Amino acid sequence: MSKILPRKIYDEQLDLPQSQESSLNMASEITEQVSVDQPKYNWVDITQEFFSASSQLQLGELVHTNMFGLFEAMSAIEMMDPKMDAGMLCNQIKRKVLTLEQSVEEGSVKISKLDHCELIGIMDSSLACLVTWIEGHSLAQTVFTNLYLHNPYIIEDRCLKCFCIVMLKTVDLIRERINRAGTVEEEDFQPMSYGFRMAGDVSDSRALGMIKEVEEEFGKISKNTRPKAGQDRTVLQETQHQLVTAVHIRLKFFRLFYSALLSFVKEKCEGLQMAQKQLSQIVEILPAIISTISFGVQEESSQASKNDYPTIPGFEPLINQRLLPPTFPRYTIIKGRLESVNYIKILVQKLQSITVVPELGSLHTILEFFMEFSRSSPCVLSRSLLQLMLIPPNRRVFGSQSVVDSLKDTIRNFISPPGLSPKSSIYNHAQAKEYIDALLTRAARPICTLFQITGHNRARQRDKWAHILDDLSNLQEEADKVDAYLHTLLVQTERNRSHLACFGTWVLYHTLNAMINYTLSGFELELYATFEYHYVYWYLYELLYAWMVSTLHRADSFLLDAENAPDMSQKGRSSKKSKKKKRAKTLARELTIAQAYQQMFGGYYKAVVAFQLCGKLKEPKFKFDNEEVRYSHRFAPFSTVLTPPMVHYAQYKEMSDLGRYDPLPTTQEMFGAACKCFCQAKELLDSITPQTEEIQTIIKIAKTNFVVMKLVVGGHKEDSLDPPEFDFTQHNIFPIIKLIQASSLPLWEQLNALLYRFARNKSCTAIICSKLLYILWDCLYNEAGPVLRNHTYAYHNRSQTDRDQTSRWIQLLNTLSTPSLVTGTGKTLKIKSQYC
Amino acid sequence: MAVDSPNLTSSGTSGSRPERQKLENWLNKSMRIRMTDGRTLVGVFLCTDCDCNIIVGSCEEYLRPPDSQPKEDPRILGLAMIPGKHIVSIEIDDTTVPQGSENLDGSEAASVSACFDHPDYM
Repeated sequence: MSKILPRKIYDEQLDLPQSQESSLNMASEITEQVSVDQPKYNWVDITQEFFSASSQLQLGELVHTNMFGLFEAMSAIEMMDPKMDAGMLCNQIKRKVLTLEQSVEEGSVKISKLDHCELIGIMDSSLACLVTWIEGHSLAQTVFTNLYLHNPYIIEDRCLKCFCIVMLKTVDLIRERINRAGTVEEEDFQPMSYGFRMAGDVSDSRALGMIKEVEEEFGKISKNTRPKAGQDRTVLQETQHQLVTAVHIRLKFFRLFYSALLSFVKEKCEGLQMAQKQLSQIVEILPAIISTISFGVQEESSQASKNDYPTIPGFEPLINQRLLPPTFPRYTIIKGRLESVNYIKILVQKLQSITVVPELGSLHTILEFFMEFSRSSPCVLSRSLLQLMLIPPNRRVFGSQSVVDSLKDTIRNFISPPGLSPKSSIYNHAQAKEYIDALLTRAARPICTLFQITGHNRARQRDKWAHILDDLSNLQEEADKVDAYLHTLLVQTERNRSHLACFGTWVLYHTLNAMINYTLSGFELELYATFEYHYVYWYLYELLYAWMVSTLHRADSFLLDAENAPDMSQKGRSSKKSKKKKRAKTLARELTIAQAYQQMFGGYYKAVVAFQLCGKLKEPKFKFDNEEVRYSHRFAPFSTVLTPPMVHYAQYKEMSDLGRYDPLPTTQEMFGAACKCFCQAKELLDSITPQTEEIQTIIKIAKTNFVVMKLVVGGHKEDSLDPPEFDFTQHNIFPIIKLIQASSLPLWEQLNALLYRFARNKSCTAIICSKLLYILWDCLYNEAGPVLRNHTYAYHNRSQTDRDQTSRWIQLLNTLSTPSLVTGTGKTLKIKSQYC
Repeated sequence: MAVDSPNLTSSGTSGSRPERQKLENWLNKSMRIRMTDGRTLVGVFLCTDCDCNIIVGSCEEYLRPPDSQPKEDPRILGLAMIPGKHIVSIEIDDTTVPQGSENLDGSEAASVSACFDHPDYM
């Protein structure tokens, strides 16, 4: 079977933990090489000769070897330039930088008889370094600024020694996991380990055993020094107890953390239950750790320069300067201790949430989870563990099921092709089976890549979605061929069933998903300018989501067909008509969401077109601007896809031309159409159960946009040429359309103006008026927040008569104490009573 | 005469011919440069210009003065450029055979290849 996942290759590191390889110490290897190859030099001073010779050159004239030109010269690092020369700052530091052994000899660093405060300080600082490393800094400038970790075996204090060993093994394991998952880029994580030994010769169980021993000792002391009823305690005793307890829970934390990571690594997801237990235990002790951070020895608050910052004894920020690669200098700011523990809290929560993934069912549900997870911007470690949980190194789903089998289950749940259904006549056909297996083997890699894409950081995903379209397009072709063959087989025995576009539909579903994700990522990354919205929204509304809806329809009808199909595997064809029972498998939820999103984008499209018509959104007038070029650039990745075919610019212009409609639609009509779309979207989303938080947010956005559109239809701000504002703060894909107020009139003032207008319009019926009041109130509710939330009785009593509702509305407006509303001339009150 | 940019051709203007030749003879030799902040760089001389900015390849950086004890591990820089104004002294690795007969092929090739074999040569 071909490779499923492309592996990132890190030149200098094998991606095995060091306990599985012989300990490399590359730093010393380099030294050895240099000293062996060191040629015997014969230095002759040529300073003056050189200066005089070079000064004879013309300005701009170079003396250089062959093959060396300006292109090569440009990549040289410039010495004595602080931006490029990392070594410069080493020299500016006046103090001596000592290794662990040197510091111990000198007496500035202790390896025995450390008191509890020092232990707490060292452990907390190490945790801060660990978190800083996970955030993307180099090991040399974070974790290994802790001198104790360079050689833990010489440490005499048992607590510190076992802590260091567990810390090293934890770092080693994290590094191995992240490297293996392969979903990081250079901005996420630095994989180099600089050849540091990571206690590879101590086994996991031994390390855990060591720390458990010490932890239990401290636990006993903590118990013995506990406050007992009726006993007087001195302050010293109490402090002592608290310090011992603080050390105890930290040892517990590091033991549990390492154990939890080991549980995740266990094959076939066997360790997940264990991991859940361990993670919840960690959650229990984290508050205690947070409250005892202040007990640890703190750094002095002396002046920190760029490269050098104050630390506690045992930490030396500059110890590894010589190991750093010759890039521009990187200044690492170690996270604060409290911040780091909070970071761990969030990390643990994320890890807890991913332990349930194996129970999710089909790959589609899992993919949805992965995408949702990615939207929360999780850290590198949780992303990597999730990736490896799904497809561990043995390339089987969750370590146990083969990818092809998993795909078969998923496709059955999605579209139930006769080729995969035991009831069907072609299920046991040898050739059919062969073709299907071959297709799914081919499909394994692109589908696994889909999961991998979600494991990257949010910004990088856009490119990867574009890239996968190639593979999916090829897969589409193959699927269509297999479908055609299976169809010819099928019609021989089951004449009224079809196998056309079966597997093809499934691949198309994923292709459309990738295209949609690519397009939507443009909003998230804030790539599109306002003057591009019309074609982006058009593509989403008329093409991508339209195809998606029809694809899901087709899959759904296949599912229905399959349920009603006769069981061909039974001899004798007893036509047992199955009772009309509730459908086991259905894509109703997905379908509704797709339709709702389509309506949302339709609303945005029509709104944008309308704004353009009335001149509020103007065409850009840049000198070298060309809309066709922009359009083609935005949708360039779609050109490789055969289905759906790319809509080129000319075709787009033709299809979106308003001139096709007779008579030409007015701006009012367009805004009205947008209004309808948002209303439709809201209704579709309302019908979905269960409602997630995201769906509720989108409903709110739909409602607000509906109101705004209604306002505009009513002529609100029609004289102003101010462009609308698209507010993405509630949801990064669905903006709230706002009409920027030229003046700073509060919303209720604007509503008042609207009510006046409605009042003047005699054809307005009471029902519409009060309905509108309700909607406007809803909008106001969201805008004005706490003041109005006290008056929820108005909001909830929707079923009451219009009169009641209106009077409540009036009461409410009173409390807002806006004079123009209440008094003015009392006109408002009069109007409302007129319409009751 | 080639129509290349006059900046990059080896054939310079007539006035500096012997000086250029001297510089060209030093190309690809190991060079040791002391900088104004006390650091020493050792690398292969690759390029220079009229301001005496020097580009060295496979450069190693030593913090302490050369030949001081204990033997220092250099930091590997790769391709580095030293601005002329920060150069204190320049020393070249004299690969000429002491008898005076120029053995340009053997020893020069040897010292050049030693540098090329260095793992970090870019």
